[in-house]
Amino acid sequence: MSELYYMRRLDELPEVLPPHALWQAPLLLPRRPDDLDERRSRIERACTLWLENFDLSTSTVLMLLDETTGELTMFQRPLERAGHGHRCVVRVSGSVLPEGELAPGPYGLVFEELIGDLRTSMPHLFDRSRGHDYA
Amino acid sequence: MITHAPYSPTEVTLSINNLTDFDLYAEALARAGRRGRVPFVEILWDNYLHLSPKQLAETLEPVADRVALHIMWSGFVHSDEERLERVLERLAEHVDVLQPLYVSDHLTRTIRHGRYLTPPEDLDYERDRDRTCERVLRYQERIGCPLLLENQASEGPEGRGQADFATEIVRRTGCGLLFDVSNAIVAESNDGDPFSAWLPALAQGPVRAHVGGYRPDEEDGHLRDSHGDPLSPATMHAVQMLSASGGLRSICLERESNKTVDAIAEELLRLDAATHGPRAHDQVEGQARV
Repeated sequence: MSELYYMRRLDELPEVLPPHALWQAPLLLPRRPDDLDERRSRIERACTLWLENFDLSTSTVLMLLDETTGELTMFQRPLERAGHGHRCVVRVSGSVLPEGELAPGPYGLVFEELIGDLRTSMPHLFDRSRGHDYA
Repeated sequence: MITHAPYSPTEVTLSINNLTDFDLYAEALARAGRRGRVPFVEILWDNYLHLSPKQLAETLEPVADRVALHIMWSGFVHSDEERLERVLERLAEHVDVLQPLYVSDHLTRTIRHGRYLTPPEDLDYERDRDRTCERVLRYQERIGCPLLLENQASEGPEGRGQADFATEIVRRTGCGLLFDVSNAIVAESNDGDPFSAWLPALAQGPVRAHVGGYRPDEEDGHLRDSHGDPLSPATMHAVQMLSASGGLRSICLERESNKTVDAIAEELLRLDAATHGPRAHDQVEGQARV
């Protein structure tokens, strides 16, 4: 449970939780909302859960915008043979997205799931020389 | 001892998911004397459902002739209608194109009061009978083929009654059992059903099976299904017994953590030895050295 909801003990969890996708579980109950390290760690965990597709979603891209830091994180599910373009993670700081395009999510984050291929639709994001952080 | 006739050898294969480079599996298969291919491969469908069935077929073609689809997180017994329909619609598309050897899901509960459960819990083996039957029938109707159901690695006495429950679901719906040998051993160790409770169900005919590693939980000492530890002596003994009796059509190795070429190859060779006897093991080892 600590891995999923970031709770040390099961009894710390509320009896009933609001509806959420499983990948959103780490973002649901922030302990220190202003702690950016904790925030990043929770986002990492959430996106790992999304990549593993516990929610059985057909989307191939997750865009997660932290409006506090202006940091946009995008995750790409593998589209080909494993080991080729899988677990693609792109972080872009200071991003501005058109208002209203992303759905509000837990932790004050906004997100959008869509079907696409970041490597073909946004190839510039994969250019290391531009200083983007990706894995 | 249960016996089935006529005797046919148990197929040994493995489960793969999309979060590992396939080259690792190909190398492990080659090292285990299989020239990089198996007669069929089981995939965790959850990790692949975003692909079109055609893409998926192309992805798997280098590894195996046929595919089996295993689903972990459908939560089909307690899922809301809308989600279940969405999942089954997508699965039906894949089944239609891929014509899998089998489709399997889990007899588990994955969500309670809005909380996701990791690991999933046992179903309520008294109250969930009718609901499970109704959902299995719908599942099968939607995908157009029988469903196999995997037994749960019960974590406590709430797991008692699982074998009887599963037997009844199979009888009432015409579905089958995907017997996870290691899960049955874990459940017995954790005060769930004894392994022997499954023997009447296994006596109905040869089954498809899973094996995986487990380890004691650091806090409560209960065994936990880990899919990352070596197959235990108890698992290997049970595999040998079931295979010798003709009770296993196939056995699929699940290894999802601590994955290395050596670890996967070694486990496949151990399963070869347990299902075909020491001579087959020697032959396979000989091939692997060539």
